[in-house]
Amino acid sequence: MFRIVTVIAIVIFNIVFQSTIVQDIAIGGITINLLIITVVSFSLMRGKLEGAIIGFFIGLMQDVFFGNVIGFYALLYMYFGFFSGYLNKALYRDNLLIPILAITGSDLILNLLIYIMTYLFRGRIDFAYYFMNIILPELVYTTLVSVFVYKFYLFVNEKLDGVEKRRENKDKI
Amino acid sequence: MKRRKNLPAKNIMIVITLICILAIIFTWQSRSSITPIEKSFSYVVIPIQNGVNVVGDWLGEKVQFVKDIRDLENINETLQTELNELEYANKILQMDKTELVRLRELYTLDKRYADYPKIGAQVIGKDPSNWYKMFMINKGEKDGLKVNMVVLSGEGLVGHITEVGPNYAKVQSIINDTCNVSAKILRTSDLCIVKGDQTLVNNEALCRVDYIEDRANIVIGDEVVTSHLGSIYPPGILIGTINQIDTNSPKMTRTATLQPAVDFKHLEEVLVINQVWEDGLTEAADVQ
Repeated sequence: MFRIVTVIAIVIFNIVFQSTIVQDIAIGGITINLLIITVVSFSLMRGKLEGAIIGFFIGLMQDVFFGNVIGFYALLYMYFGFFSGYLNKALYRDNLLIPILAITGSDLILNLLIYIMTYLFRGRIDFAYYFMNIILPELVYTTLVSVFVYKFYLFVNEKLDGVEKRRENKDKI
Repeated sequence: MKRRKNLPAKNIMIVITLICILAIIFTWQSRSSITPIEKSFSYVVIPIQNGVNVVGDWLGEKVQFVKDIRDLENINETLQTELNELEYANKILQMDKTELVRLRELYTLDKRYADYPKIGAQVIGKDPSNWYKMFMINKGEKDGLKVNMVVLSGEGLVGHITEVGPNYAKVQSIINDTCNVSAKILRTSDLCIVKGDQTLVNNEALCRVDYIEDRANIVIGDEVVTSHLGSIYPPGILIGTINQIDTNSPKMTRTATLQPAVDFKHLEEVLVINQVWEDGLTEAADVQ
């Protein structure tokens, strides 16, 4: 219960921060993608089902507030949450390499998909330009920030685990 | 136990995928009518967004305040001299204005966009992705906003409203990649189309001007305004100035790039013309 409330709060604050504060600290007009960091982080820590659920709701929020159609980002983020959940078992808690690589890879694939689905289909074929000026900067920026954000989520997750364990013990007694 | 858990997860994924695809198909064309689910989301998120903005602005102001003090004295001096110059220029302009009013009366032309009814609004959120230039403002249905209302800033055209919620509205700006505005070059009255183009937006937020007639006598610095052909935008609103002309285009028409009059990087307050152009805004302007 406590976990659910926390996760809902994190989802809401993600979409709020992403559309306000993160936009203010953009470098050269390019912003980090907080949403993909959150989705992949939680999926890695909690498994694919929880990852998919968080991904779906974060994507849905983005669709509702900024999307052109409902369901596009919800679908994308849900699949990212789901598939990065497969790395859950391959993960040591304190190893940062796999999570960061997963986040970087996801952000790359996400942006490629967005480009193909919404730009290429409208005849914007100058892929090199979009890659060098939007995808790559966002990738670098997101990767750098993800180190800190992932550590923060790891900390939150550990706290939540602690709370849950204490509750369980209380129930047993 | 684990096996049992794995199987439903996949089934749930398939079901949600289908629901999403259906939702995409249904909302492809008519996104502007807002569903109850979206409404309930907005009641939770918009107040938080407003709060975060207030806190962020406050912090930013405090930091900026300390930074600015040194610069302010220098600026003050330059501004003082500028003020003197401007006062002089203003007098000349005022004389010109009385002349203009007189001439307008002669020609009974009265279509400046100052006449359109407007309300102010604040920008509270921007599109999370780097691909589209949409933003949200803090006025919505409750303030009488509707889809397709035109958004201006002090300098010129910003865009139009694509979706309205109870307490917010989504604005598509003219630098958005999917945006097309029917426009004309003020000096020569040549028609053209102003398009958003992501390749021009990244560094300095420019637009592309397309379909300029080949013989049109345009020069750098020409002002571009909305044309009388648009279905969303009322005519005569300043969009920007021509900043580069593409001379060796293989097409029958010429293209150019345009510097919008609005500073899209630092957009905080906007004005909304709170009447839809198609619903007889002309008549309202004529009556005045």
